[in-house]
Amino acid sequence: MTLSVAEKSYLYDALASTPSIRPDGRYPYQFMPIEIYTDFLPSSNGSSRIIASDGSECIVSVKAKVVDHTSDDDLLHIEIDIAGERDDALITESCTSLFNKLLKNIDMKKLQLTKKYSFKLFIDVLVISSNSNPVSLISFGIYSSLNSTSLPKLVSNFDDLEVEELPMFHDYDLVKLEVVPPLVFVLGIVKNNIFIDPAASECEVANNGLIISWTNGKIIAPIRTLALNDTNTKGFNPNLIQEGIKLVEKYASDIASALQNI
Amino acid sequence: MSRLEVYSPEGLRMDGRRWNELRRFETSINTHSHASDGSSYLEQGNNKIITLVKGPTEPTLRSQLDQTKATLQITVNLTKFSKFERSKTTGSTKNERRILEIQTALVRTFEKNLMLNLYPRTIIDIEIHVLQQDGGVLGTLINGITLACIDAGIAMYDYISGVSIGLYDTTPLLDVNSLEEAAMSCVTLGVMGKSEKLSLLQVEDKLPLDRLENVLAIGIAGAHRIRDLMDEALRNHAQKRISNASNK
Amino acid sequence: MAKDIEISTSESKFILEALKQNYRLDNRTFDQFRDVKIQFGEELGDVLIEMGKTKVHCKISSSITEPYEDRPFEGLFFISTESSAMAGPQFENGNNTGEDEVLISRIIEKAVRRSGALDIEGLCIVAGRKCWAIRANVHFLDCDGGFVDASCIAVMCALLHYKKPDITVRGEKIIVHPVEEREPVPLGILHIPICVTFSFFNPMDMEENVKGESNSEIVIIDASLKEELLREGVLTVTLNKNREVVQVSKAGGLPMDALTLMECCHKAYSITETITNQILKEIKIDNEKRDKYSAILSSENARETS
Repeated sequence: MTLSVAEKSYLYDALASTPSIRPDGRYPYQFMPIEIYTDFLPSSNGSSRIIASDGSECIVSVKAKVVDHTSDDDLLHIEIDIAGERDDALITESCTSLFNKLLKNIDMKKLQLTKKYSFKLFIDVLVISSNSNPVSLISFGIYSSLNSTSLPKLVSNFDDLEVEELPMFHDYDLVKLEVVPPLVFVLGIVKNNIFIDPAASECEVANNGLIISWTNGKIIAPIRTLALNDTNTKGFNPNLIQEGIKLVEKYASDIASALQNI
Repeated sequence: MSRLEVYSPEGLRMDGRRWNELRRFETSINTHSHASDGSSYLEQGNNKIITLVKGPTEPTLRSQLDQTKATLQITVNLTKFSKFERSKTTGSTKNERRILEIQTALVRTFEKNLMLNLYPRTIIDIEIHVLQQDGGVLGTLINGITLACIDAGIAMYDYISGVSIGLYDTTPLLDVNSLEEAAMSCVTLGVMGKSEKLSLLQVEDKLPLDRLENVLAIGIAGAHRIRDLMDEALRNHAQKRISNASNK
Repeated sequence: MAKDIEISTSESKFILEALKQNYRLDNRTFDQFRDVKIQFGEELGDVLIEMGKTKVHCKISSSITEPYEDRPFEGLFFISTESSAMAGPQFENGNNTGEDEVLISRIIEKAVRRSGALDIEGLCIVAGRKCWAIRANVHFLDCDGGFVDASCIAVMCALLHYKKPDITVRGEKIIVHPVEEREPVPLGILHIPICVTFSFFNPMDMEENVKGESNSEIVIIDASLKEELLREGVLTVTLNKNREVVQVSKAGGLPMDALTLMECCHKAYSITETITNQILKEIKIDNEKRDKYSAILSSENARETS
């Protein structure tokens, strides 16, 4: 998005005033409206499609495969593809590394089938279009797709170390996957104000940005700063990190329960 | 009798269709109005594709600038999760020869159909995401592009509709799914409107020469039906937009 | 085909006008295939094909390796097409991802490899452990159109000409007999696919082509480079002598009437027959040349063969 100098200055002043005025009239803690559809890909174990009101869209598929966890202990594989970006583009690689770290927070025990075998989950993220940083959207997508994931029900014995056998599954019964993936929030900073889910125009004038991760009622690593544009980025008051964390702590559980209820 | 019989003596296929029946064909148009200038979502059987048309816009690279006509660029993204079994290839699938071949074939098909000479010095970028594939993908891609280009309002001569036909022994089977595609030789057609003109014709496996004509005839009839289905969907969509506009 | 070669407006007008009046620059009729010249090299599996000015060289080599895990009973067969600036300035060195390079290599791949022209199960030595890997290296030496057709003939000739060393299997041990010691064995060729390329020109405007009833498009067989540069559509048909369509590829371009395309296929069949017979004849002649003494050494009685 290209804004004129006058537009930028107007936006900046509006966002920097107390209380800040956002161009679309949102509160600092308010997200853009999003639509989520789940379970629309029958050939995947779980899937979700998430669309923000500014047209950013992301599709997540979860596929499972039975692996021997004694030889392959990497039970989560995530691949992020951002349309229009190369696979080795900075944004794609930084998103992939962020989510690789974050998903370590998932309780892998939930994927265990027997003493020898586990499900390995392949999470494929396809960002069809994004107007601002897509990490928040991706994390919501992963949350709702894992939430909609059902895996075949095991009918064979749990203990297969004594008697070698391959896991057997029920013909049609499925079990819901019970994992709670972390959520990621992007916050924009303008002067001394902080606000959640910056829109494209807000990113253009923001002085800085923060990535804050949250799971199960608490803030987790990584917390990162994120330059939202090339021209306006500068340092900010460290107190704003505290403020941002407080903001996330206050509203994240509402978002998680909203995503849970889809 | 096995359930996975390709074509039963009673004349039924694996999914219960007759030899001359198309798969479910459902489409929505202008699905991504923010992200693109024209878009379509198409489900042909279990093929699910999203097509985005961006342009005509000013090209970013000088090499894409043509003084006489618009440059057409098509990117096909066969997602790794699109098949029943997740693709095992590590790294990008974007530079696979098969995908490059599909892209080139699509560009050459639509180059002759879109009136590119009306948009000199611009680029038209078509992006297709295949979310799920179940046989006859090339045909579905053609249909998706046709719908999205019409939505984008790019001038074109006629619809191009695509369909795959298999030949089981001596019976041609219209609009094959992936199980059928794996079991027999298939022909993919891209038909221009209601004519008998073929813009694209691909046969990838052995087929008796004397059966080809028969297969083409069935394919053309099937493609004409798809054209009608697309036409109906587009007209319904336009109707809806007109009534929305007049209500305001 | 080319990106760097450009043809002047007056020359292109001249060629198109000539085509409209049923003339081609090299005085061929519209459905005349160029004469194919097949030259065998000193070594087995070394073939040079000339079609007019187009020159394609193909060399077969073999080695023993391990088969793919999921196909233990099959040998390996690779075709690599190498286009270099030697063939013409339009080919970039080492760039095999250009549109035309991809289409050429994919068509040859489908025509020869996918269609099972080479019996790859016959290349298996010890199931799952050892097999032959056959490699066909195609080099484009000079380009005057018709690369696909010429390279397909080149690959098939080379495969028919090639003989791999004889082997003896003793359990896990394999003895490869040098060619001097034991007569090498030919490869198992199941059928001979022949590609015929048609080029389409539109004498009228696009409107007439799409909506008109006249079907006045011009169809020519085996275009030369200049004709290739000017053509608006292309169809490559691959057939074999058993009246089987092996591969057809019309990747876009000028929309053509289905009946015209069928006619093309039938025309291609008669060309396929002639070329197949020519290939088989030349292979036979070359074999006899190499086997000067076989007639004397043979203990067979002379027999009438039909």
